[in-house]
Amino acid sequence: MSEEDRIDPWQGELEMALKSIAPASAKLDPVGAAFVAGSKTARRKVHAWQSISAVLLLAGSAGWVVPVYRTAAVHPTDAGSSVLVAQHAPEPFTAQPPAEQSVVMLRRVVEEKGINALPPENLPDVQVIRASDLF
Amino acid sequence: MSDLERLARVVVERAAGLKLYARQWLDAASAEDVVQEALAALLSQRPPPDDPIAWMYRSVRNAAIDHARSTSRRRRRERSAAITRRDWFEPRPDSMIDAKTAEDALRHLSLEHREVVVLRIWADMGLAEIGRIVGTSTSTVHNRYASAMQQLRMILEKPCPKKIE
Repeated sequence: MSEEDRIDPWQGELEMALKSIAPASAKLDPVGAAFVAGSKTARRKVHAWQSISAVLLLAGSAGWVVPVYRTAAVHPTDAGSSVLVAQHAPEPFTAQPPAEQSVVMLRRVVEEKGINALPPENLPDVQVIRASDLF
Repeated sequence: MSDLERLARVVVERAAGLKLYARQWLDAASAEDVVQEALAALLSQRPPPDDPIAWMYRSVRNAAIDHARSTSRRRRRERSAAITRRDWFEPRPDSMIDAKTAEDALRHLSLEHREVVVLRIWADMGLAEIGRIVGTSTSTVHNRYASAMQQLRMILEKPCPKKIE
């Protein structure tokens, strides 16, 4: 209490008289208070970790869900826009021409040029097989 | 000695004053609980407050007012009986004034006036500091203190009623 706070001289005497009586004692438990404070601080740290984990989990879930949603959903803004799609043209079918002795070619030759235009027969030589060769 | 121990010791030395302050709203047991809780709250502050005593008084005041508001009507009635018990001060033979007389005189004051006197006399605080705790300007505290001391003077100087023979 500073001296400039004093208002009147008589107050000094009254203040001294009042100060001479002591307030009733209080029983405080500093160890108990320190324990409570420690557990409070620890709980706060646990809560902080829980909150951080929850936020990260939410962020992770949101990051996983949102791209899936984007690809699945058709937005109205996409309706007018053109999308370029790179598409490879299929390679032309290059079939081998039928053989000269095939049924198709022979028929075509007969229809176009007549039977005389048929190509010479290309048959393998006939092998003579005797009975003695078999038994 | 660690910082926490030093802090706890500073508060324990002022425990009686803090309890007396809390007693302006609460009974003895609740006042002690409130001071104990405030001490636990102080020790969990990181970093600790610059003025731990002022912090404790402010914390005790807020907690005591909250506690007084939250208790039920029945408990309030029970508590009012406990509050009116004359045990704010310890009677000592070397006191310049009788403990019970002083308590009676203080009880005549309004709560606003009384808390200023308690903070000034038993917490040894300046008027500006009291203003910060109570939440008013220094001039208001000055006026309240002057008025309270005037009232106390009148009460304490009142002559005892004469015995009728």
